[in-house]
Amino acid sequence: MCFDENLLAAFIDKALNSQQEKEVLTHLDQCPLCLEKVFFLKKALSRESLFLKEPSKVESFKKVMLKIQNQGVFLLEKIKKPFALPLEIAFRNTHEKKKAVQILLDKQKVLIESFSPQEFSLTLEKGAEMVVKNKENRILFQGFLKENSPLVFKAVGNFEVTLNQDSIILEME
Amino acid sequence: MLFETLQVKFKPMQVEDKEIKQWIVTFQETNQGFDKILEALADLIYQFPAIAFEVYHHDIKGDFYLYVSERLEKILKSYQPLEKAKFKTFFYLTLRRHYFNFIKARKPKIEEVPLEEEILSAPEEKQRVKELEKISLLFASLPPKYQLILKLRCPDFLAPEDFLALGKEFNQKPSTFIQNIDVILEEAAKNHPQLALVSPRTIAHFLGVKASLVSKWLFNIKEMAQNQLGASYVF
Repeated sequence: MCFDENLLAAFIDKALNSQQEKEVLTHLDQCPLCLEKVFFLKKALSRESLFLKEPSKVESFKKVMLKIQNQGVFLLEKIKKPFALPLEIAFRNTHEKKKAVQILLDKQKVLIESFSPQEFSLTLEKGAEMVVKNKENRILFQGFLKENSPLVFKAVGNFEVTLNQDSIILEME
Repeated sequence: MLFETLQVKFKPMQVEDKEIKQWIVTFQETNQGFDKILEALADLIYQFPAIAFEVYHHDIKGDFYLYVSERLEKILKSYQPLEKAKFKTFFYLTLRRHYFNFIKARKPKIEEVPLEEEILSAPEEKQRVKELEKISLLFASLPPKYQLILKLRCPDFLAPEDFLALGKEFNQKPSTFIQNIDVILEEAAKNHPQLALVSPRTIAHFLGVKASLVSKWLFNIKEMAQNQLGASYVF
């Protein structure tokens, strides 16, 4: 029977007693699957140092935001359908105390901040005609929202923001 | 501001092993502190496809980050801390399993795009493909021992099944080689990003043979390359 991940990891770190280590070694001689795992671990740990030499592109929060931005734009451009974003995931990774997510909609940045699970503020970079609907399709806001003037609204669960022809549905999981 | 790209150094983990283990134990017992654990592991999760599988595409790395962050609570609950074993070692193994599941789940979304003909028909590309074909043929024609020596010289090509072959070829148990492979991997990583070659001396030390013997084998391979391909290759 193969060893679990806790034990194989302990073997790599030489944290097992001599009897346990002997058992793992005997097993490795017969089990290509575990041999592969151990080799993988050693290779990955040695490659890690390569990444210490290179800067990573973005901080974790910004990475997620960038991904959302890219995916949102991609989907909006390619399939012209509302793009559903699991808001909880986006918000979970924020470094700031205030939870916020920024997306691209109709080629402008839209900043959505969350004060509580039901309370949101939405700020446009340029200002535009905008519609915000809740999940029952009830209009929460319709009209021209000026640049940098936050719109504060309450919504439970999903809500949809439309700027001209572009829409995004933000989902609370 | 939010989209500003910051040039920060990749930190595999932003806290000491002892500290993160303590956080995890607290989380296992009280369900508290998940956010700070995720934050500490964020870089490692995001870079994992690149570190482990040489997958550098930001979309894949981003998707994998989201995939793991949704499952991290369960991963942390399954961890059994041991004083001498690092959390990161366990975490890498767990990430490996999750990466395979992630790829499986993602596969239907990947569309097959036919290679554009003009890319393949570019003269320099044709030449490169020809060169690669020649090298593959040469490699396949080498005796198993020489194939293994070349793979140890350039361990990027080393595969898990090679340990079984090494065991047979050099009359040792495969576990002996897997236990000592660090010397080879460390030297290759040190020489990166230049040609990541391992010295004959290190290969000899790893195999338990004389360095001059390894040099002789490499010389023979070089001669075979010259005879078969009419070209000189760096081995």
